[in-house]
Amino acid sequence: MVMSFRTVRDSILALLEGEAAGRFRVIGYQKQSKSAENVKNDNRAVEVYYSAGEFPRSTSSMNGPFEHNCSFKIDFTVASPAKGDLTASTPAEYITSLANVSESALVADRSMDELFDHIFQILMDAENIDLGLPDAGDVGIADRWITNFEKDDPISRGEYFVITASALLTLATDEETGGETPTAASEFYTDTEANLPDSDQADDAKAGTFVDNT
Amino acid sequence: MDNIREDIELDLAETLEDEFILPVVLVDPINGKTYDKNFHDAALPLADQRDLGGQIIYDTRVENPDTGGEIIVHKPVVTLRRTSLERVPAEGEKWYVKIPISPVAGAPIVDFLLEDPGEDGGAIGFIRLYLKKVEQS
Repeated sequence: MVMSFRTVRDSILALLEGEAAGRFRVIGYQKQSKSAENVKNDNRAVEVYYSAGEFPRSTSSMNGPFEHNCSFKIDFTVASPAKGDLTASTPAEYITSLANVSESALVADRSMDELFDHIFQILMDAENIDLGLPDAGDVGIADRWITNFEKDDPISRGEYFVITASALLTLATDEETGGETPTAASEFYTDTEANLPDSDQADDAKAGTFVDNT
Repeated sequence: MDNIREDIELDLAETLEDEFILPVVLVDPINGKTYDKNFHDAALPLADQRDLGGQIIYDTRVENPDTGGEIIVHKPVVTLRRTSLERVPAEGEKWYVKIPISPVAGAPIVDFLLEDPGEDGGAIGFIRLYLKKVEQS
């Protein structure tokens, strides 16, 4: 049996991948090492992973179902170059081009805002209240909510400006346990001999059957 | 007694512009002028002037202090001898800088943008430029 939070996680990933439309990439785990080149522009990365869970005893049954308040971390990584008119070739065109060039920090900041906009619209859309889980499935969720979003301090990184950010998606689901798989019972064999008390015994209280397992 | 600073500045001709030199082209935001020749040769006929060049270093691996994750970035750093420049980029100015994409001979020239103020080694004669990639808007 698979715990519900794993099914929910996979559903969130499938939902985001289905709605990406080339605007971002979805990574289903914490990818520690990323190349700035590979998260550039519309290849900006969205990492979604189960990060924490609470199991309140008061709202759970001793033998299940167990309420599971899940937290999913959503990490965003954007890398952007500067943007300018590179078709300039004359001094006048260069002056205009450099005067209107967009610094990489600005491009990256706007790109991050746009990325969060996309993700929020998808996950908080009323149509996605179940985060893509089938209506008739075994796993259900409630109270899905993006509780916060926070941009990290922007720091220049090489030829691109890289910005990271994170958001927290919380929801509640139920967990069941399937129990330990029972081992096959070994055959129980008895060879029983009934020893009836002799009828001539004085103590009639010794009536009954004695079972001798050998 | 020799002036050490002058000696260091003279040494830059060898350390920055000798065997490891790579071509650099600067585009001035004030007058739109393109600087692609070594200013030391300004008095010579154009055909005899050396191309402007300097030391270019690429690639580094940096750690994101917020997440602890590693980001692999190209970090082109151009170091130029100040006296080889007709005009030295000033703080706050944005220049186009055209350099080879790699130190391999014949590598294509790519546009970069100088956004941040250059590291000023003016006291000993060089300027170090940290570049950002620029793409067509």
